[in-house]
Amino acid sequence: MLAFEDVILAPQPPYEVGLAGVSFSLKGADLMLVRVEEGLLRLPFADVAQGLVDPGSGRVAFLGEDWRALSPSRSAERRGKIGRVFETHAWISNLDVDENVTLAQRHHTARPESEILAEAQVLAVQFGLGELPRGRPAVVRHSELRRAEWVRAFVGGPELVILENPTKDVCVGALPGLIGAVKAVRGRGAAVIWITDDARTLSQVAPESTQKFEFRGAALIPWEGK
Amino acid sequence: MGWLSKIGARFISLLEAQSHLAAMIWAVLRAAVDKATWPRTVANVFARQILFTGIEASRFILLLALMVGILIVVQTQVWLAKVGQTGLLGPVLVMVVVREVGPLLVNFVVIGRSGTAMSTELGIMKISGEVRLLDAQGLDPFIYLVVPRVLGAAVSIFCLTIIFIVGAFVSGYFSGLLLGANVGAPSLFTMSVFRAVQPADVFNLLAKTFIPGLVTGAICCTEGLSVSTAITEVPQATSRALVRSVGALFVISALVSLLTYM
Repeated sequence: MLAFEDVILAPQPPYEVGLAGVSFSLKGADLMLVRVEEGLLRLPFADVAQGLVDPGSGRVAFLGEDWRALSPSRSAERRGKIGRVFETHAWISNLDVDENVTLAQRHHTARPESEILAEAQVLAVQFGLGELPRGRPAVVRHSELRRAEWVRAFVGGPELVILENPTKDVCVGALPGLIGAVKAVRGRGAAVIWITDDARTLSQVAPESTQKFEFRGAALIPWEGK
Repeated sequence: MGWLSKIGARFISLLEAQSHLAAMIWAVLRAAVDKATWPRTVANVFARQILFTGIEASRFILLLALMVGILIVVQTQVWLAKVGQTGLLGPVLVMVVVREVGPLLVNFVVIGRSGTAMSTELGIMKISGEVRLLDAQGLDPFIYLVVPRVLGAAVSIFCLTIIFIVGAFVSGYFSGLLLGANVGAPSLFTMSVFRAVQPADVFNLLAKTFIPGLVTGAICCTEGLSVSTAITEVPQATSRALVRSVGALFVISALVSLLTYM
């Protein structure tokens, strides 16, 4: 599904660190848990995994194809198969929340909008939202916005889900819903990368994980899970 | 040789900027005819751009056209009356409004109103990380942000110019009537206008609306997306977009007029 082969990236803004010889391979239904140091927020890992940043050396392949070998349109089509919860601000400010959530699906598929919204609504309920927030992101509460990001990441049945500190600004009661969604998407063959610095999240997700790593500076090393 | 090399470097930089602009417009036109460019999301952005740039500006353009029609008639009436040729009002309106003033004024309005908004909006999106967010979701920023804006600007300018021309003619006719010009019946006036329009005028009109529209859209999108680190870069980029677009407009208008009528 996703493979990093000795990927090296020099430190560059806006990231805190680079990547130093990162190698791993992720298959369908894998759950890769990545522990990061508390406060080490901006890592290039997810951007490199999505082909948004080219590594200085090494290879990153998604669905068997090196990102650098793909045309812009093919890259865009591939990224449409990846759901992501971002570490930082992640909303198009002049679209409503429900438009944001359904944007990628409306762009990459011909599914009726009502069908996409219905699926998003089911996920919203699962994540404790009651209903999908309406209105511009600027007027929606942070905790609801964060869970709406979860909806956006899972809607449409992605092949790969990347979760960057997804429980930030969210009460712990919502975590089971997210873990449930991760199980469901893995059951359909998708792989998940869960990046977090939160100890409680680590303890709850670790037993479900097929691979466990931690970032020590720029290096990705196996993590014992304790 | 210091000053000479500086001039040379400046000229090369200017050529690079123009070739980048030309390449961008070419890429937009190629994307426009590719069916894959137009999922509903992009079609939606295109429709919104037409709404903002075209439809919402149409009332102001019409008002401008009515005023321009009066202005032209007032001035030409004085001089045509001196030579006893007040029946030439229709052809004069064609010469002034269709060939030069109409496209120029409409382009000015669109640059000031929509061009600046475009570059500001894209600049803010770039600074706030929204462009990266679109990319991460598989929405190519060129296809989603640039193509519909550039095409929307070009189509809107053409349509607004037609509105302007019709408005100026109607206003010109009634003003002429009020001032005692020999404009004749509306049908006669309309025929004299149509007789005065030559094939070259059609080419001139198309060239002076679509080309500046594409160029304005491309310049404003480029400048907006060129910002990188600070929000204070956005107004600077917008100023540059405005100045470049106005400069390009005059160059294009002059060149088209020369090619069409000389």
